[in-house]
Amino acid sequence: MQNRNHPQSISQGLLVLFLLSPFLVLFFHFQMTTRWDWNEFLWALKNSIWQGFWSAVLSCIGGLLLAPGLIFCENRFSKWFNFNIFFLLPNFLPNLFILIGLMSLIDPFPMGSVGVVIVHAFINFGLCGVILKEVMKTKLSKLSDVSFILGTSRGHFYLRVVWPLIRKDILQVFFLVFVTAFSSFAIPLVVGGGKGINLEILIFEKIKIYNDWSTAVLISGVQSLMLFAFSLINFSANTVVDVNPHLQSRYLESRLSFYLFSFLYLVFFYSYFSGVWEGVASWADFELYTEEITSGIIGTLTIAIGVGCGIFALLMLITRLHQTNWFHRFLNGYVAPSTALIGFAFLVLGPNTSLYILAKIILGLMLSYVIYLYKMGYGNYLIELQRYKEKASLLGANDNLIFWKVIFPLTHKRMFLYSGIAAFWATGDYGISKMIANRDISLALLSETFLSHYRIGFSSLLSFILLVIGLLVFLAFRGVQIVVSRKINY
Amino acid sequence: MQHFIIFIFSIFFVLVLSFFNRKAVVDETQKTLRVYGYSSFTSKLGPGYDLKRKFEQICNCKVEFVEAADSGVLLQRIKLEGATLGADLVIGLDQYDLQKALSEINWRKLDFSQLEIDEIIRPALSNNYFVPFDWGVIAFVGRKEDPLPAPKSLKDLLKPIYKSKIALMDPRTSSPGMQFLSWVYDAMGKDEGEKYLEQIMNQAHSFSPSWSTAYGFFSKRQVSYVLSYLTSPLYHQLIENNHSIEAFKFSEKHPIQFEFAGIPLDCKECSLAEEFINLMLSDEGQKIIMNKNFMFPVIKSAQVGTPFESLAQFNHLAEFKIPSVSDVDFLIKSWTSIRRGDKNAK
Amino acid sequence: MLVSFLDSVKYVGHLVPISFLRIFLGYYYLQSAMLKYTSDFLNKPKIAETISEFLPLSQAPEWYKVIITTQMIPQWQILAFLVTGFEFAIAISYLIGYVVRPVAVLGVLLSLNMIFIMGPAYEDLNKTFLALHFVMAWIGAGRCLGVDYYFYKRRRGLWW
Repeated sequence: MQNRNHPQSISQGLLVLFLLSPFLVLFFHFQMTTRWDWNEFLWALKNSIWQGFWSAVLSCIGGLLLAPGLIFCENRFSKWFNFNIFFLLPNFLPNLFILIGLMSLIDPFPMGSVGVVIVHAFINFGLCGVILKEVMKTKLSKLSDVSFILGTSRGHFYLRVVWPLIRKDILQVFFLVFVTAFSSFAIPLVVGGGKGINLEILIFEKIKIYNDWSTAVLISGVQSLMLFAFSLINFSANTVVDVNPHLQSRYLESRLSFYLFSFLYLVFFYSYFSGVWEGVASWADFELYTEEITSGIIGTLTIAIGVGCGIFALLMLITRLHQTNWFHRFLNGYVAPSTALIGFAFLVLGPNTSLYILAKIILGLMLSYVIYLYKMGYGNYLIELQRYKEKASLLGANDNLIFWKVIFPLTHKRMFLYSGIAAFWATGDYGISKMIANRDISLALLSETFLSHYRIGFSSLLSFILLVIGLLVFLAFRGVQIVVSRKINY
Repeated sequence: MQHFIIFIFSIFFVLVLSFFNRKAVVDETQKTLRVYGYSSFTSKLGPGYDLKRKFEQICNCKVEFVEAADSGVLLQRIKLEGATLGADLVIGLDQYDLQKALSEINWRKLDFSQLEIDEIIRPALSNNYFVPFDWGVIAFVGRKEDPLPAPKSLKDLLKPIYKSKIALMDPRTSSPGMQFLSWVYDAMGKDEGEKYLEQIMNQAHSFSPSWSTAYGFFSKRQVSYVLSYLTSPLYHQLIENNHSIEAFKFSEKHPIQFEFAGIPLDCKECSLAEEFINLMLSDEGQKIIMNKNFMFPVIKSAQVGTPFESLAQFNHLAEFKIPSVSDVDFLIKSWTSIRRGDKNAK
Repeated sequence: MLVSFLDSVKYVGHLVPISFLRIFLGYYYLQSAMLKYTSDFLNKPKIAETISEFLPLSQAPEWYKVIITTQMIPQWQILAFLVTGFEFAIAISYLIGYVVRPVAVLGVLLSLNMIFIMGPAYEDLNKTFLALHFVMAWIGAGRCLGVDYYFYKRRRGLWW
C-alpha cells in the first residue's frame, strides 16, 4: 500500500514545488540579507487585513443579494445568453476603466481605504454572486421546491434552511475575496492614499525604493504563510446534492435582485461603453496599426489558449493527485506571490527570446490563477468526490481506472469552466506580460501603450476587442467541453 | 477538387501579392542593433518605429527593440541579458535614473558637447555617458472652459476650490510624478516643501501609478487638472483639433524633464549604436521624435516653423541638474513617509 | 463549421493522435516556409545552387536530372516560388485540416523531389516526410480536428 502511494506523493511534491517555484527562484537569485522592520510590517499588515476584511464582507453581501437574481435569469433566459459572464466583467477590465466607471457612479468618490474597499467589493461581488448561485442551485434547489410546496414562508426558508446550509460556503467565498483584496496592488496604489498602504505596496516599496529584493521576497513569503495559516481554519463546505435541471427553485430566485444589479451594471458600463464609442471615432487608427493589432490579437489568443490549456492540464493533475491530506490544505491555503514577483522570477529564469517569453507568460499566469481557481470551489468539489473514489477503490478499481472512469467524467465540466475563466482573465493580463515581454505582444499591452500616447478612446476600443476575444475563447472552451461531454456519454 | 484548386490558387495569389509588397529582405549576414527602451518610445505610436525604418535603410543592419516595464526592470534586464544577447543602446532614461544606471551598469563615454542646442538645456550634456534626445517642461494642464480660475502657482493648488480636482502621479512609479516632487522641494525648500506635500496629499484627487492613468482621469473629466507637459495641449490641437486644453504657467520655475540615450560598455554593435544616436540627433530624427513624443527636440533647428517653436520660447524654467542617487533616495523616502502619514504622526 | 470542427473529436476521436502529428507537421512546414519567405530564398538563386551541387550525386533517374537541369535551374525563381508556395499550402492545410488529402499527395510529390535535390543531409528527413504525407493522405487526417470533417459529413467522397 505504501509503495503504491510513493509515486503519488512524489508527484504531489513536484507539483507543490512548481507552485512554489517563483519563491524558490527569487530566493536563490538574491542573497537573503534582510532589513526587517516590525513596525512598518505590522502597520501594512493591519491595513491589508482591514481592506481584505471589509472588501470580503461587502463582496459577500453583494454576492448573496446577486445570487437569487442570477438564479432568476438562469431559469428564464439561460438559453439566450450566459449572464454570469456579464457579472464577471469587472473582474477582467483594466483598473482605469473600473475606476472611471465607479467614479461616475459614486461622485465624489471616497479616496483612501474606504475607496479601496468599494473598488474591491465592486470588482468581486459579481464573482461571489456567480459562485454562490452555483452553491445555492446545487444544494438548495430541491429543498426550495419542497419548502414552496409545503408552504414555508420565504423568510423562514432563508433563515432556517439557506443560512445553515450555505454559511460555510459563504465563509469560503469570504476567504477568496479576502485573499484577493489582501494581496491587491494596483487599486490601493491609486485610490488608497498613503494610509491605505498594504503588504503588496510595502513589497513594491522595498523593491523600488530600497532595491531590497530579499526583504520583498520575505514579506511576500510571510504574507503567504499567514494566509496559509488562516486557511487552516476548517470551514470547508459539505454535501453537494445533485441538481435536477427541472427544478424550479422558486424561493431561490429574485426578479428584483436581477433587475437591480443589471441596472447598476448598466450605469457602470455606460461610462465604459461611451469610451468605447469615442474609440470607434478613431477607427482610422486601425488601418495605421493593423500589423500591431493583428499580432496583438494573435499574441492574446496564444496566451489565452495557452493559459486555458495549461490550467486544464494542471487541474487534471491536481484532480488525479488529489487527497484530503496536506496536499489539499496546501492548495487551499497557499497564495501565489504578487504579479511583480512572479514576473520577475520568470524574467531572471532562462533566456528571454520570443518563444520563451510566451511560455514564461503562460506559466506565470497559470501559477497565479490555478490556486485562485482551486479556492473558487474546485477544491471543495474534489472533496465531495472523495466518497466516489473510496467506493470505487473498495470495489477494487485502481487509481487510473478511478480517475478516467469515475472522477474525470464528473469533473471535466468544471475543469473546462475554470480553464475558460482562466483563459478569459489571461486575455486581459497586463501585469505579468508587461514584466516579461520585450514588446507589445498582446492586445492588453498594446492598449496600455495607446493610453500612454493620449489615445484613451482607442485604448477603450482595444479593451472592448479584448473583451470580445476573451468571451470567444471562453465559449471555445465551453464548446470543447460540450463535445468532450458527448464523447464521454457516447 | 474545386476546393483544392481554389485553395492552392489562393495560396499562390497571396504569396505573389505579398512578395511584391514585402519590405526589404533581411540579409542573414546583417548585424543586429539591440535597443532597450520603453514601449512608449519603441512602439509604432512612438518615434522608435520610424527611426528604426530610417536607420535600417542606411545601415545595412537590423534594429531590434527590447521593451521593459520601467527603469528598474530595464536595468535588471540589461544586467541579465546584456552580456549574452548584447545590449547596444539604452533609450529613455530620465535624469532621475542616470546615477542609478551609472552605479549599476558600466557605460561607454560619449561626447556630444559640440551639438548645437539651446543654452538652457546645455547642462544636460555635462555628463560623459548619456546624451539627451528630447526634453519637456512639466506643467499643469486644464480646460479653458473650466469654470474654476486657472491655478497660478503650486500654492494655489491647495485652495479648497481645487480639492479633488487635481490628478497627480506617484513619484515611485512615474517620471512626471518625480518631477513634481522635485519641483515642490526646489521651489519651497525642505521644510516648507514637506508641509506642502502633507497638504497636497489630501487635496489631490489621486496619485496614479502612471502618467497615462492620471491623464485618463483628466480626459474622462474626472478631474479638472492633471500634471503633464507644456506640450500636451499640442497633441489635442494637432491630432484632435481640440483647442480647449491649455497648460498653465506657474509662478514657480517649471522643471524640465530630459530623456537620455546611453551605450552600455559591453555593447556588441557599439559603432552602430553611435550611428543610431547620431540619427536621433539629426534634424530628421529630431523631427520624428518631436512629432511622435510631443516633446521638444534638443536640436534647435528641428522645431523651426512648427507649433513647438513658439512654446519653446517659454523661459520660466528651473535650473537643470542631475540628481545623485542619495538625492533621489531622499526624495522618494521623504514622499513615502509623508504619504504614509509618518510625518503627521510625529 | 466550428461545431463540426469540435464534433469531429466525438466521431473520429481515434484520429486525434494523427491530428497531433498533422498539426505538428503543419507547424514545421509553416516555419520552413516563413524562413524561405523572410530570407533571400526568393530573391537569390540559392535553390539553383543547391540543385547544381547535389543533383548529379543523387540516384534520381536520368530523365529527371535532364528536366531539372535544363528546365528548372534556369527558371530558379519559379521553382523557388513553387517550393515556398507548396510549403505554405501544406502548412495551412495541415494546421486547419482543410483539403488535407490532396495536399498530402502534393506533400508526397514535394518530398520526393526534395530527396533528389536537397542533398544527402536532408535525404532521410525527406524520406520520413514522404511516409508521413502518405499516411496523412491515406487516413484523411483532416477529418479529425479539421475543417475537412464538415465537408466529409455533407459531401463524402474521396477528397476529404
